[in-house]
Amino acid sequence: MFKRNKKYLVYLLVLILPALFLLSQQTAFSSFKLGIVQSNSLPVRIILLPLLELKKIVFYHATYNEYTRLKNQVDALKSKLSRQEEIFRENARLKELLDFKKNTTINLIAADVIARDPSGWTSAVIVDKGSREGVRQGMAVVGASGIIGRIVEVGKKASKVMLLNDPGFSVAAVIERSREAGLITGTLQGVCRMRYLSPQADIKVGDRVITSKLSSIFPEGLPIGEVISVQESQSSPTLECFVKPIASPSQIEEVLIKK
Amino acid sequence: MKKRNNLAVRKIFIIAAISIVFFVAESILFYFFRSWVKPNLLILLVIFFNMHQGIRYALVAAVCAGVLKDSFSGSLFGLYLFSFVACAYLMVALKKYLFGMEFKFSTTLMTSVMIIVNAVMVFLLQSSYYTVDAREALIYIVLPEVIITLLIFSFIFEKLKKCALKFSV
Repeated sequence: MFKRNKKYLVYLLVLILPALFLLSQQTAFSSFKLGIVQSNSLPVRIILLPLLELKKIVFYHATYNEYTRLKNQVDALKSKLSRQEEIFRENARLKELLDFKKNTTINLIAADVIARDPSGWTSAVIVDKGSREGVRQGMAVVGASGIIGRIVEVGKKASKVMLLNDPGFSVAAVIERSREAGLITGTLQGVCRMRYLSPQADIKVGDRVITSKLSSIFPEGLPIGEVISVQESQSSPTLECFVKPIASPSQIEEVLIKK
Repeated sequence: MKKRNNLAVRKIFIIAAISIVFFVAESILFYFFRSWVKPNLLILLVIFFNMHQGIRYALVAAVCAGVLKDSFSGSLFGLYLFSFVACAYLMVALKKYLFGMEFKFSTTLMTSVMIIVNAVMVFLLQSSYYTVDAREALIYIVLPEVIITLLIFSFIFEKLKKCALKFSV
């Protein structure tokens, strides 16, 4: 009798425990979750490695064209940078004169992506740096071409990054050309949505979107993406536009975490 | 008795290993095709073990699959775990109603119902904790997942049957 009851009790517990997990404080599971991820991400990485190499060979021409484009861009940027360095030095001298005490150095931690969230409901990646390397919750994560996301969970040796196109992500942004301000949020479509733009906002397809100075975690002026469509909002008398992220968040391999 | 326990432990290890393999397959498909080719292989695993091994091993599969998916996911911990476990229990109830029907028909019907129920359950859980655009979720997540999973389930079940025979699970 007791044995039979015990069996039903176990069955009941198996159903109740997950429900209790859902209602409990989620930060308590961070280390456990990231531990599971670390131990299970290795097979994914091993299988993906030859496939990625194969992809590189198959898309050789696209890579070469991209290389040529970037090389030209680097040359143009080099000349631009040399001019800007001069302005920067002048600015530093003037700031010194005005007795500005501002820390301009940005500490960055380089990290590799070790796993991805394949659920589709959320966009997240797991990186191989954690609290041991100084990573903290809420830190900004950037890539070579623009913003990637922010740290949402921190383990000892790994952290979870909520990507730019996650529905829960939001960042204050402006259209680079017209300086129209709005709020970038993720969608389930893999692109971002820029909301709360004024109905008269001057926005065109192809406009670049960058972070605004209103953003509390990202530095001002970081590229976010490019406008791909503009439409009237269905829920409020404002404009909204869809933005294609500059860095395809699902394909990123390395990131920089801003300390 | 000892032999029976050893067999049970062996089965649990094999179910855990298959869960990892299925999760890896899901991750790789998602990496290359995003949401458009994203079958829910883990729910198929739960359904398969429920049909062939009973609720006990279906729960083992549900727990392994749920913990794996929850750990990698950006959502709340327990969301997938709860949905898989609840589906395993729901399937027991469904099996009672479909008992006596032709095996192939009842398998197809049961699998289809469970795939849809799981997708709807995840959608409802996501909606209750996060702001989810229902239209977007239906077009970009729920429908592609349900359609692809329905299309491939008989192939996956056949492979799982072969695997189960090989490892005498």
